[in-house]
Amino acid sequence: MAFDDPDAIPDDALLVLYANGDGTAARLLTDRLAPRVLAQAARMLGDRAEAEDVTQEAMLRLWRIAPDWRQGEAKVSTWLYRVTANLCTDRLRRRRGGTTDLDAIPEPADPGLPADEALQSRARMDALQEALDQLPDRQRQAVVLRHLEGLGNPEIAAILDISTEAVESLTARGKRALARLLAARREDLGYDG
Amino acid sequence: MTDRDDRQNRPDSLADAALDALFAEARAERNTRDTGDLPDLPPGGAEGLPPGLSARILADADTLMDQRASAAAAERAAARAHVPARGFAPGLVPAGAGGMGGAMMPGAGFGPVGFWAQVARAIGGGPALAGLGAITLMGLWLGLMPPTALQSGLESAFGTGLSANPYLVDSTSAFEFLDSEG
Repeated sequence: MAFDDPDAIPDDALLVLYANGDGTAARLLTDRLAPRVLAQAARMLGDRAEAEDVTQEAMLRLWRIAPDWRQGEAKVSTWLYRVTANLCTDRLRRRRGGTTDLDAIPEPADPGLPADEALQSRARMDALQEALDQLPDRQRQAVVLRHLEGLGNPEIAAILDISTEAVESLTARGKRALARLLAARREDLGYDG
Repeated sequence: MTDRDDRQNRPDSLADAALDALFAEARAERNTRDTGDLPDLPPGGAEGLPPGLSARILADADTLMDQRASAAAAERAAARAHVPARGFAPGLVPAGAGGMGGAMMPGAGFGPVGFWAQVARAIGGGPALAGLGAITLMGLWLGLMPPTALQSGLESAFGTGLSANPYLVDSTSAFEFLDSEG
């Protein structure tokens, strides 16, 4: 099938095309959705390799459900965020129950970065990730989806299967906790004063 | 003073504005940086997906697509093998596993269907056949041994006895009538 304007095709239509044997639709869906899944998983898990595994697994579940997908009932992206959130929660639980995974330790800053600003930006992102890692799972999911993925509260409520009010409460508490955790690194972050 | 203002002035908490700026920077990082700059954070956009991951995801998609195509082809072949060549409706088999209420579709069935089974299905299935048989037996029984209530009911309905029933035929020959009159 020829796609004159791929951006104009909704996700669920692409999923139906894939279910009917269109490989191009799978590539478009991967290009469109996988980076978002990877970002969510990386923020949730704080580990790139695990996030890639979760992304592959989440997309695999999308391919599996494609023939049974009912158009118009749910957004594909919302469904995928939800699957990703559940997969990340499972991995975090397993991680707590087992030994420390060396892969889960944040990678050190690349000493080869040339610019001071790039280094400081990297330090800020690392600090944010470390603070996120200390939040309870649900708070972290809500904060990542709301403030880093930019989703609205109703969509987050659908992803986490909770009420909109509960999402507001989770994000507010998560944000307060982050503010406390990052306060000690105010100078490192370059936000002092 | 609001809770927000209070928090902004506390030394043990980062100001909301600083936190919001950090979130904005993180979103911008995701949308602009490439993977070489920031190994922990995937960038946005299709071009930012690691090539290895993209290839693995698409390989999964292709594998599942091939499996589904093979399964569909096998199912079609099996259905063709089971379509009856003779009988009440040659080439027609029930659609689905009986879920269509006996509807017939060409070449989409789940096994052979014999002649009598097709006749029974055409009439309406087992319950319809049982009802038809019961009504037939009842009619036969009423014809052979009509109950008294039925006979008296007929008399009261027509106001006459059975002898005056217009449906009864006088079997006396016209020649016998002429003989008796002379």
